Amino acid sequence: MKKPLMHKAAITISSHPMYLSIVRVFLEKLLKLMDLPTYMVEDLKSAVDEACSNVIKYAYKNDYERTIKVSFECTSDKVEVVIEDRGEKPADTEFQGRDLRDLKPGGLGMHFIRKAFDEIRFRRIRGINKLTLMRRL
Amino acid sequence: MDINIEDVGKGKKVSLSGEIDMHTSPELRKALLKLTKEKISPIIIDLKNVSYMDSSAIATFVEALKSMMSYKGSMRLCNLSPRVQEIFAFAKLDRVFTICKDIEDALSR
Repeated sequence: MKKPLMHKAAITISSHPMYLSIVRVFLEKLLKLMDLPTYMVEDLKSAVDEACSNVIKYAYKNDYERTIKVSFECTSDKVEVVIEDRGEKPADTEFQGRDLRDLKPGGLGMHFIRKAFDEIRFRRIRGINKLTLMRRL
Repeated sequence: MDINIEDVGKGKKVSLSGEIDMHTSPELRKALLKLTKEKISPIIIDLKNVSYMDSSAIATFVEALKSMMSYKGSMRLCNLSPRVQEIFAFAKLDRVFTICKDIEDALSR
């Protein structure tokens, strides 16, 4: 049986990196409503931040005049965040992240996302990239 | 994010405060690469007042560290919050960077 919805909210931001802090505040406030432990709030917040940064870098190629929609839903047993953009379809390699044994800048964002979320699903529907991140509670 | 750079012996102390993310890390990159171009060593990074750090911040530190390797310079990070320490450990960078408890510890290395 589907669990009752506890919280649901969405925010649409401009794809300029200055708005990433607004997404972090938005998520932090919502996650705190759920009384989750601090480490989990920090992990989820970092992961969504990294996912939005990836949209700016890879889907929008640093075009700061586009939009990113972040939707949040939670029930008693999971948190789900959906990140939507209308940029280019990211290459498969952009979902991999670098080998952590290599000392080189970049490639860490996907590791933060995988650390925080149990399921990561990507779909492209009619020109919209839709990344669904789910964390079981 | 604010960056404050002071002389400490032959090196520099870089005190950072606020949030380091994709928006603010280019400014940090510019400041650190200016120091590495001048072959400054040691560079002591004080993270005491950093409230948030993303992967672009880590990438910036890695880039500066690699730049310092060309002249055998020393970068020391100090006053890491438990969260920032955890990020470095997760990225397996806690053994790559010299991580110090505080400024005194960083200066004594």
